[in-house]
Amino acid sequence: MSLLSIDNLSVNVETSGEERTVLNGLKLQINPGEVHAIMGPNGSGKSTLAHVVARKPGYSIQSGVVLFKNQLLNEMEPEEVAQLGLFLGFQYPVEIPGVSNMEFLKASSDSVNKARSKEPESTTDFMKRVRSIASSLDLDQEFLKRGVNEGFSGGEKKRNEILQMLVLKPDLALLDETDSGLDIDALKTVSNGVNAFRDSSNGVLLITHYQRLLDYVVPDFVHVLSEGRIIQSGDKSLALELESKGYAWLK
Amino acid sequence: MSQNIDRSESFMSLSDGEAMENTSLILASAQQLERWKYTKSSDVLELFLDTNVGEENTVITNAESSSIHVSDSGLKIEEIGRESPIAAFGLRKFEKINKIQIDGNLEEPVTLKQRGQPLPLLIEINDNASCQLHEFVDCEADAAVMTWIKMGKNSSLVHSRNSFRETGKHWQVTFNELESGASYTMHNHVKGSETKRQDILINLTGSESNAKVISAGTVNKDKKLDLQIICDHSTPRTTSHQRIDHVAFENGSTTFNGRIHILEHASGCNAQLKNRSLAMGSETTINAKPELEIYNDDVQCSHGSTIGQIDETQLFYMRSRGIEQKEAHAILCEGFLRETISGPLSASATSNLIPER
Repeated sequence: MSLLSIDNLSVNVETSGEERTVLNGLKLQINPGEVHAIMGPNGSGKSTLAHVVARKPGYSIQSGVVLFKNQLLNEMEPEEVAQLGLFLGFQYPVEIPGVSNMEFLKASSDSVNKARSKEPESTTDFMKRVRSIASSLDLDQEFLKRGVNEGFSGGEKKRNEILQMLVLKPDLALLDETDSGLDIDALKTVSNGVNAFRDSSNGVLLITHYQRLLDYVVPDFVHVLSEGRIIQSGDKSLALELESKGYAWLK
Repeated sequence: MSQNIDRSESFMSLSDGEAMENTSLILASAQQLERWKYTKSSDVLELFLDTNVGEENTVITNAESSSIHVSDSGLKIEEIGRESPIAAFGLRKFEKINKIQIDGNLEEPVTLKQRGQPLPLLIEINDNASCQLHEFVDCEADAAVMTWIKMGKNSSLVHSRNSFRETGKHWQVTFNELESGASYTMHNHVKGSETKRQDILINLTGSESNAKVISAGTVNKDKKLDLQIICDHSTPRTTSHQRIDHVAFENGSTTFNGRIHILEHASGCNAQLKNRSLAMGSETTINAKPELEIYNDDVQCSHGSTIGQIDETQLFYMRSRGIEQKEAHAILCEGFLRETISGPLSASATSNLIPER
């Protein structure tokens, strides 16, 4: 059984009173144990794809199906998708003043466990686990007490996204430009986090502009998205080719 | 704005209606533009007239301390005069007002429980004295609660007030006068009721005195809260800081009117006011009016007010982590209020103001 199966997906979005198509007959399949990377020029629909799969409000699915663990996502609420085991790492993580990181993580973890009819993890065990993961990502323990992403640098926000992913242990992680704004050391740290996460039972979808992330997190498949559909797929060598040639040769 | 109003003994011989009008006029001159306010003082002044009072309604703990003196104020109406028109009105109605005098540095907080229809209360903090006041306003029925705080030179007061009763009409008035070097901090936590108006009137009469008001309020369905703060910088180098957050739930109504007033000769003052209001349901009403009135160029002042709903991006972020929408709303509301729930009574404020998840 595939983790994610997208078939013939077309999506519209309304901006300034005008509807436009942002995904146009997109097909993609991700199996357990696979890491996929999606590259493409600005405005090609990369982030939109992640948002649609995570069921962000505002997108209208015109046709096609999105199956996650064999369940139809098309009409699900964002929290239902997350509870099912899907994680979206944000390109621009949101600041939530007044809500501590630790409290936010515990609320997330408890909600996911509750939806799966599991007992909540004891607060002591949970805090111990979170602290250990934070250390592995070079995140100061103080960050756990601060408001979610409040006053964090760009790199700290991205590491915080990886922290959340490792704590929630999803089956599929969509990481939307997690490498943007990272210096080389932070990129290595984040990549180590992603590599620690990946195993034979889960999947990762990396959305990126740059090949350099793929030096550290080696993908099984690379896809090129253009005008809302995948126009080319290949292995890691495709990313290297894109790095040297750009996207124009694919059109 | 000053008006020549008779506040002498003849005040005692006026009819209720005349006395009420007289007091409204004094308030109008003291607070300027009272007629603009959303809850008229003329409406809430009636609360003084329609209730019976009992001394036992004000309970003070720690009264055995040698630094605390509890008594009838002994003041006459002409001594109260213009300083506290509400106290004058209360004295007229009740013939006396209570007094607490602090003349040392108290380590234990003074707890004040205001119930029923309490007598107006004068709190005098002597020069160099300091204390913490924990005030619980818990009047079930309609009530007017007046507290008049006079702070001596270099005195200090941390005043925490929790007022969570949602039944009845309430008017809570606090007058504060600070002599030079005095420091006043108020942590105000409040829930709206049928009508709840809070007036906090601060007069920084002594140089280098400072006042800080941090207030968190919520208004549930069909309830109303009206918070009025006036901070008069009457002398040089005085500072004030107001931080006010309100949350209105479905059909709730909240008003904030904060005014900073810096007099002509009060140079070197610093006054800051920040107000945020969050609408958490449909049909909420939020009024916000921050005001600056400055007659001196050598000052630092700022004021700002925002009104909004739950941020959709924050909401999606939480839901994308598996948190149900209702719980996400509650957490975001909690996060909003946590920035102003503060001070020694913050634990009970958190449990009373923040909706259950």
